[in-house]
Amino acid sequence: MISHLVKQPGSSKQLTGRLFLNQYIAQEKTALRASVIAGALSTLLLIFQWVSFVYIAQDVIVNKQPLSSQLILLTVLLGCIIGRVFLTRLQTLFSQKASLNIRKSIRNTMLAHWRSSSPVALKNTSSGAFASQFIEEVEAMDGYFSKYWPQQALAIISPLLILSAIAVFNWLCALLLLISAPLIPLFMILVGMGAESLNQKYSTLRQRLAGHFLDRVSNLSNILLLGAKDEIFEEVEYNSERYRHVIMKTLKVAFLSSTVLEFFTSVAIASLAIYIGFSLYGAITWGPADSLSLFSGLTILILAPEFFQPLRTLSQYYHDRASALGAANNLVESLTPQTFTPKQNPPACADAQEQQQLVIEDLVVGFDTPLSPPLNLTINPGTMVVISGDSGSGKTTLLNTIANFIPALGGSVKLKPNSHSSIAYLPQKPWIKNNSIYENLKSLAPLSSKSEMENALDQLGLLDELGVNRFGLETLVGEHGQGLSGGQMQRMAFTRILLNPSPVIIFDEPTAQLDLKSRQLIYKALTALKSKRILLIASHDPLLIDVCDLHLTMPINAKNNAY
Amino acid sequence: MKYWFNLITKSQGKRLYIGIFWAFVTALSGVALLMLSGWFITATALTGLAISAGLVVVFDMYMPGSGIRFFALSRTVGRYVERIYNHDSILRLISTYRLTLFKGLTNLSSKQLRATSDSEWLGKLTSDLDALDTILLSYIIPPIVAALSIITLSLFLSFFWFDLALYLGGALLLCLFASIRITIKRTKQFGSLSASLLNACRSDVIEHLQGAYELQSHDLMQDHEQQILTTLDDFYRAQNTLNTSVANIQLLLDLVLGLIIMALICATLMAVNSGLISGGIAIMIVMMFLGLSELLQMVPSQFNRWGNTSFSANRLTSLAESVASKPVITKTIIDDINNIDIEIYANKRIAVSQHSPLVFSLAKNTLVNLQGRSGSGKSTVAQLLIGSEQANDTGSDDPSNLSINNLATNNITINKQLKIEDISRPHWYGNLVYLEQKNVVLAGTLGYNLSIGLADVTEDDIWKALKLVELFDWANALPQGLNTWLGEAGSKISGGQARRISLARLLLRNPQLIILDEPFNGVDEKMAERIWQNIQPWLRAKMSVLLTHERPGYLIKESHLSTQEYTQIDTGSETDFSITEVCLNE
Repeated sequence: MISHLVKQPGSSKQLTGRLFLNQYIAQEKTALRASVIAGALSTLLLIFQWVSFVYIAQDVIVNKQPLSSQLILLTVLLGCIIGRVFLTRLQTLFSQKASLNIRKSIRNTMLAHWRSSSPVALKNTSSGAFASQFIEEVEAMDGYFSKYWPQQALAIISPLLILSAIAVFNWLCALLLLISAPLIPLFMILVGMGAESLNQKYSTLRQRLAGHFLDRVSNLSNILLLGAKDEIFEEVEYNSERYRHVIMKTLKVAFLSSTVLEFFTSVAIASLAIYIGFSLYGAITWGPADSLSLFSGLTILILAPEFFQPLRTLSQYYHDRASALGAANNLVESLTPQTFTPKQNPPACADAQEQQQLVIEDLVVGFDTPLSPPLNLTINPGTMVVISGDSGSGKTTLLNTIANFIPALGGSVKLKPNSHSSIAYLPQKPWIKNNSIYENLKSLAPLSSKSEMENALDQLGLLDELGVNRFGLETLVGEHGQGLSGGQMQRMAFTRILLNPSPVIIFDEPTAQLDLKSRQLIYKALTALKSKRILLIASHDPLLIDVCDLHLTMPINAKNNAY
Repeated sequence: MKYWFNLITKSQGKRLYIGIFWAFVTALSGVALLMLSGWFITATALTGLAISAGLVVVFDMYMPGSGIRFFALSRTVGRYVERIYNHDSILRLISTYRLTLFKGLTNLSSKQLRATSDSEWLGKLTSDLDALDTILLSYIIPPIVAALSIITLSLFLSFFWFDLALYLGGALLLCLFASIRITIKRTKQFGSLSASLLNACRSDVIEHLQGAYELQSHDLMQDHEQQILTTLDDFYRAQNTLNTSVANIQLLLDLVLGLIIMALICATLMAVNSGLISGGIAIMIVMMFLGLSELLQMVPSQFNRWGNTSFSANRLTSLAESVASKPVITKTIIDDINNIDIEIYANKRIAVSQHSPLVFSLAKNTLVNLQGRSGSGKSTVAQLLIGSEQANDTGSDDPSNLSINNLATNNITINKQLKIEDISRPHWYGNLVYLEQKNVVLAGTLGYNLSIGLADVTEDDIWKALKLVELFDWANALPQGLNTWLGEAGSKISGGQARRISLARLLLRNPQLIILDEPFNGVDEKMAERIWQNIQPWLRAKMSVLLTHERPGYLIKESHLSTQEYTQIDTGSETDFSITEVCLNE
């Protein structure tokens, strides 16, 4: 009810986020509706509960009847009380189930999106940011689906039900509530609009403060070197205090909106109580005052707070809506479709041993402008190609284009005879999972046996170094040493390639910044791999350039020498 | 968890009591409003009937009326004040503690710091610390207020009906304590579990995305998702168990409260039948119970985050305790550094030292140019010179490597007698400047970036330093000059500019030892030569270490320094790290 009235700044952006959320709500409409129905039924029972209570009370207090004469109504009362408890339970059951399913399917959408994204595109955002989107932001939507959405419907249905019950007893009281009810959302919109702009104003500041902490923590060693410790402490203190003030300011506005609600509830109850009291006493005679009895008066008084309750609950959940919308907007942005089409062949390519020919025709690479003249090349199995060139000359771009991670500006890269075979890619920074050695190997060589793994580890001198021969493959990476050295990490990546080699393998600077021993073992592994396959290596290593079959040098691009 | 409870209750003192007072006023006003209204309506109805029956009754309409208005107001005001006040209290405490924890971070060794990622430190300093607000706002104040309200109202009730007050008060207190206990007991485990599973899932996702190149090229993206999906399923299960038990506890509590009100209705109305209490009082008692049960019904939702809070609290406690128990070691202070002798044996990160020891000396008025390809260990030498323990770390403690590690030692001797390890770290830092390979531009203004750590630096000095690195014109042309914001969310600067800012920052200091690691990365050769000329006066009379890939052009053309004045270590001698001859053809 409120959500439709509040005008959001930057509405086109908000709309996409809202559409995104609605799309998922549509999926779980049945469960969410069931939740609303349970809530509405609970309100109905509430009305019956209080009507029967007051009827009994009037009978006993005014008519001086013994309580035992009201056994039927007492049973109704008990039934209503118990029924409501179970309906509330049902309401949460349905809404939580819906929320869980929605979160599941949002996360599946994200995973599917990553699956069809180029690794180059994924690199543009830090994986930490993606992870927090996947974890926190989706989790932040829970409240919206499980609480806010059902309550949004109930905030209209329940007050209407109660209002009609009150109208039966006394139209003036119902009118009074009807007038005060729209005032509440109106005030909330006013306050909410203030909160919205305040939130917006401070969200950049808050981000800057979080950025400040992150910045200073990651540069901590440098700060100590510069002798700026005390200065930074003062800064952190100042910023932390500012952070507190910002939070307090937003809280004050948020509290103000609930205070407005609270105030209306209290005033409405108090004025109803006084009106009913004076009518019953006989001091008020105009309007429908005469029709009031203890029965109707007390019923109205008890139902009045319940009239406001759904609205108050909704206002408590209001921030769930804001955070869900914020998260949805971020998600919509990061889920924009990409041009990348992943290969469609079955995983773990069964015909990995098959010999393939790499045919490059008129290939032009680059992002907007060509980095090099068209490249024509046919590479036969058993060839090692080394590509060198200054940093920034486009070595990595060329490799990424051949691997199909970046679309080519022109020309084509084809594998013959089997064009669906995959091209393995080993980036500059090897990928190591914080898990067991077995898990690390298995993730890229799912079909390898343990003995094959041990064999491959031995070939790269890791069997002994990582303690696999003593502690087994389940040894955690870095458990029996203090983390892996750069050389060990690179060799681990090579072990995986040995276990699951593709016909074409691309290496980006495989020997840069390595110790002597690692480098020697990697030369050996490259030689072993070369016999039946095509190796494409970006490197400056003179030794690799010496032994390669084909040496390409990236042309010097004038633009990259600017600085 | 206990640690934080103690901390909050102890440090809050008076504020805690004031906060509880306001919350109590609010709760009591709410209940009183209902009670008074119920009694008022019943009483007026009975009086009205009596009057219409022709009896003369004196009834003061105005006293209860103004009472109702008063409670309506005090409830609203009380709620607002209470919430603002208590949030302010806890935020103050969190803010102070954030600083304490940050100070603790600076005491950690760089190895300990690196063991946890920066974003995780950020998480600890922000979200984990913020999560502790529930301790005061949900776990301390509401139960105390609920208990106080029950006791107060039972006392009030005992004036009318002592036995009922006793039973009702007892039953409600029992409900309160039982629901708190059961909620904590049934949700704690799953709350912690789901929090830790989410954390595990986060690292799974990060690993998954970091492996995108390798996974995508092998078409194994979908295969690899399994790990994430398994962790997620475990999380959903834990969360579901948590939600179900909270909902079930709520159901049980609602049911018990429902049965109590049923019993209460019967009891009070029967008492009216027997003339023990008046009708007005009976309605008032029922209304009182309604108000109180509203307070009680909040318990499951207030305590269901206990597991999450204790997860955050535990993550912070170890850091907080390490801050508290940091031993202070007094170390030597040195004023004048005359010479530094460096001997490095078999350092794993310095390839050349594994064949023969790396030995060289620094003295005043000298510049040592260490040349080596990337990965040869240049930066490790610099790390050793600034006394970082990370460089001493030999990399792998694998038992099979012990024989090598035993030989690995680094001796850095100052003035022929002092070991670098014995010198107080801040003091040593005060005597040196180190231009790291990585540019360090902090999120802050240009002026801030240059003057950081310097107490008395004039704007004049800053402009002079900018002139030396040829950034004067650029900075002068900036609309906001020295107040231009740099770094994250600031204006973008090129790598070469960042390099020169990092250098200018050091020019404002007057150290005894200068370490420059590739000082002109990203700066073109001609400009590098000019800047090198500009900073000669600063380099003079100090000991300097220049780390470069190869012999730099500006050094060869240097005319102010004669060959005697600096030790140029040539290719082929023992300090050249680039000798790595490896034959691929066996």
